[in-house]
Amino acid sequence: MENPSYIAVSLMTGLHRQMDVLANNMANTSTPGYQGDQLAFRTLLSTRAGSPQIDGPGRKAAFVTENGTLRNTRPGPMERTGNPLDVAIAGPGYFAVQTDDGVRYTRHGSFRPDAQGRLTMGNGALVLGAGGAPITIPAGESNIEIDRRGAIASTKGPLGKLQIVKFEDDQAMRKTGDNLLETEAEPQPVDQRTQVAQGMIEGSNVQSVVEVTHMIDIMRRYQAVGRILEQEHERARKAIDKLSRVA
Amino acid sequence: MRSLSIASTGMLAQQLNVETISNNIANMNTTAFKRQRAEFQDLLYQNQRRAGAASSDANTIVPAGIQIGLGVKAAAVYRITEQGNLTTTGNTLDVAMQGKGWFQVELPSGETAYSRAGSFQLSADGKIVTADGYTVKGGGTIPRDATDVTVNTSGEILVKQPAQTQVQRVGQFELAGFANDAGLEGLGDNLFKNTPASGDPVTGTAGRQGFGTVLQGFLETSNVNTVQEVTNLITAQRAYEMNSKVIQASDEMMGALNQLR
Repeated sequence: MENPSYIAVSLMTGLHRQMDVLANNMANTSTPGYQGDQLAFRTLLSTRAGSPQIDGPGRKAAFVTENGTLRNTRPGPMERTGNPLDVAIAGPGYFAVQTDDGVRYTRHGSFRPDAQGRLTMGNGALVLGAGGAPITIPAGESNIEIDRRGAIASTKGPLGKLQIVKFEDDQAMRKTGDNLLETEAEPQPVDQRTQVAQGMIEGSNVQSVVEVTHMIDIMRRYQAVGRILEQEHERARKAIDKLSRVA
Repeated sequence: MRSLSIASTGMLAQQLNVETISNNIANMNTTAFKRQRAEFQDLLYQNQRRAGAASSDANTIVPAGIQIGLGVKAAAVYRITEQGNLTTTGNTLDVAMQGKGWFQVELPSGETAYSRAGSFQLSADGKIVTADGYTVKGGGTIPRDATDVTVNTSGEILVKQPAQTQVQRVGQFELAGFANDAGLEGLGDNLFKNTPASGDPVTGTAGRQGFGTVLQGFLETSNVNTVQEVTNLITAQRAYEMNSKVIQASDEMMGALNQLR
């Protein structure tokens, strides 16, 4: 008898979570290389619902549950910074970086040398070269050129090549914060379609218009479910009222 | 409701963004100012359902887990050390660095600071000093009766005195370079200090070992691009507004919840 309320509550919990995911997207509209998340729902059918005498679809109650967050892999807008060590990936692919916890992947290509001249991300993760070793920029080096394949060269000659990889399933990657992604999958080399642009940064791929519309939708649906709950409450109250009078 | 606090991290981030942009715009006419850029990173994620976890005993796995991010944080405000434009002033002691390298300035405390603002002047005893009166390393002493002061591309200071036919070399600017210019710490007054992130200074002379050249009668302008800054400002302001909308929407959802009987 309480099923309508429970179903409504399952949706409300889901909408709450959806709002959290949306708020995170909105908060990261200026985070370079950020890829927006979307919460996917699925129906959870419960056969225990309803009366066992009734057969057919009415016997099952459809609860709402989250299935997963899907990362939007649409490319973000390219922003020119003019910094020679800012690189953006056009096409599928990720830079490989070495953190204390292991190799992580990122599309945020804003690199700078540390005190030893090793190329790092802003958070200290070392940028890996094609051979799996960090790339070192010698001190006093000024003209750094990065070509479309990710090869770094200076006036002193080639310095290495950025390790750019791709994965069969982008959705199997998990975000770990700090613009990094982790995965157990084996990285694969990128093909000719993936190019690198120097002096550019890939912005966040969150589309504010879409998110705002989505936000209004969540809010209104939430209010609508609230009304269902209220009506259900009213129905139950009336039922109790009438039934008690019959008795 | 997490969305409230998530949106507030977004607003804080955009506030920092606006602050950085306003500092850039305020310094659009500061000699040799290097523009800054706020860089953001996403915060931690909470895994409600882990991707790759087993979903049954038949070796099926969850293809995409549920990850809820907790917002955004400022990772760094870094300096873009792109060369600024050169503007001619015609002043004998205005020197611009073209390329890599910093002038070394002796602070009153005895420490060395680094600067690219080459609007130098003479002190009472003939020393080459910055606008604040701090001595520039390698500047030497210019004799009182010197008639002609020339600074060549290698940073040598040459003077001519009335009684002599030959020019005399009184000093040569000693430059410093760093592995990571962006890691320098700004002290204000166009001065910078080295940090562990910038690495130790490597000294040298202009035009050699990767150092740039010195140009007399020129100053390096600020590398702020106003058009870019204004567009960035608009984006930051709108992003701030949108995050406040998320707070509003979350508030309305909580309001709807409170109205339930």
